[in-house]
Amino acid sequence: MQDFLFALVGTIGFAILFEVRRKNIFFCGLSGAVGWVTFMFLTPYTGLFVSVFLAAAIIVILARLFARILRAPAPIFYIPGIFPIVPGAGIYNTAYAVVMNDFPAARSYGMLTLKTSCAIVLGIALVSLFPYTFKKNRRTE
Amino acid sequence: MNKKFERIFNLVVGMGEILIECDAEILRVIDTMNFSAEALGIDELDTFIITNGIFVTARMDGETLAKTKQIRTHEANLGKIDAVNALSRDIVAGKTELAEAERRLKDISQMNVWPAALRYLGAAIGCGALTVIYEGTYRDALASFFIAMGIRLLLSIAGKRQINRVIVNLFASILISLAARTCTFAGLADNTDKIIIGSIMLLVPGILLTNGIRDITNNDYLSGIIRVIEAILIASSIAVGVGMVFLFF
Repeated sequence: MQDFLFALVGTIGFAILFEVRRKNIFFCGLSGAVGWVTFMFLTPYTGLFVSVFLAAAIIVILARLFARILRAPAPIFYIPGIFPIVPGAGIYNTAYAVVMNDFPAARSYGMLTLKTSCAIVLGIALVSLFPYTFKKNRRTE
Repeated sequence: MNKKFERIFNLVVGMGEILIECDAEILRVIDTMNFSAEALGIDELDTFIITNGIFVTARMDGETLAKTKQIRTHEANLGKIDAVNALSRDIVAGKTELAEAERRLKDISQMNVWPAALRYLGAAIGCGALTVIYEGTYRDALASFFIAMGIRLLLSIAGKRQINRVIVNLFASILISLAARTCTFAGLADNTDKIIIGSIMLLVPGILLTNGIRDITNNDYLSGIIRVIEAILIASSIAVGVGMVFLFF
């Protein structure tokens, strides 16, 4: 899918911006691309909230997985990875609707932005709540 | 005063400082400092860390050292977090001695994983690619590409002068909207909204929000709340900036 490639490239672009090391870059991009594709794929079936929630959760799960395999901290993988699903569009559309005095649209986009953000928050929080599965002395995250 | 103690102390504080400057999660800072200090021989290390500051006291062989430091500049740098993490792991594993650790830390504080020019390119590519997946045309993506480079320059300059992030983002989002409008009016691109959406991805506080949540789940409520609120403020300023331009045009 074309979206996958662009999400991959986009996430890698942001990974470079944040100075991720070369060996981790591809997996960074991978987590972002998988997250985006999950979101795109699920939205027609499950609605926005669940798809964003699951996408965020998958991104963090993948990030923690890559963190263990590549021996790098997890944020390296999920910070760029989360970029495609962050609701930039929601913010813009809400602002536009408010300024155009289209308050029903403003409310609807505002709710969308809020829902997406909350879904991201919950997705991350839920996965982050799982305790470290290795001894306290060996932090590979 | 035990010279070695002082050196270890400064090393550990230095590691923590770099992590905080790079917007790492608070728990990571605490763990890194504690594990490294313990491995290097410090008997007791107590820290209180929030996003803006660090309070540390340490005890070794009966002596006590304390440091209080404010951290006012933040620039998310995942490579440095990675490097400090690797350093701390090597210290804990006993692979790195004090002198070498000090040297490595100094290298880390000045390190640049990618040349500046490439980072600009990365930002531009990121925004351009996202514009496409948000259903913009390729010409929109090109517009986002160049706008992102300009905005990145702006952010970099403002960051060095420590101008408040909310204000900078307000200004930047106004510029983005103006530039996007100009591009569509001039016929260079197709959808003003897609260009704006793609370009503001550079401003949207994704890291702050995610690390804020992580801090909260790690029971670092103070830092978590600070970060989340800052994220909300920044997101609002972006909305206001974009809205303002449409109000007048």
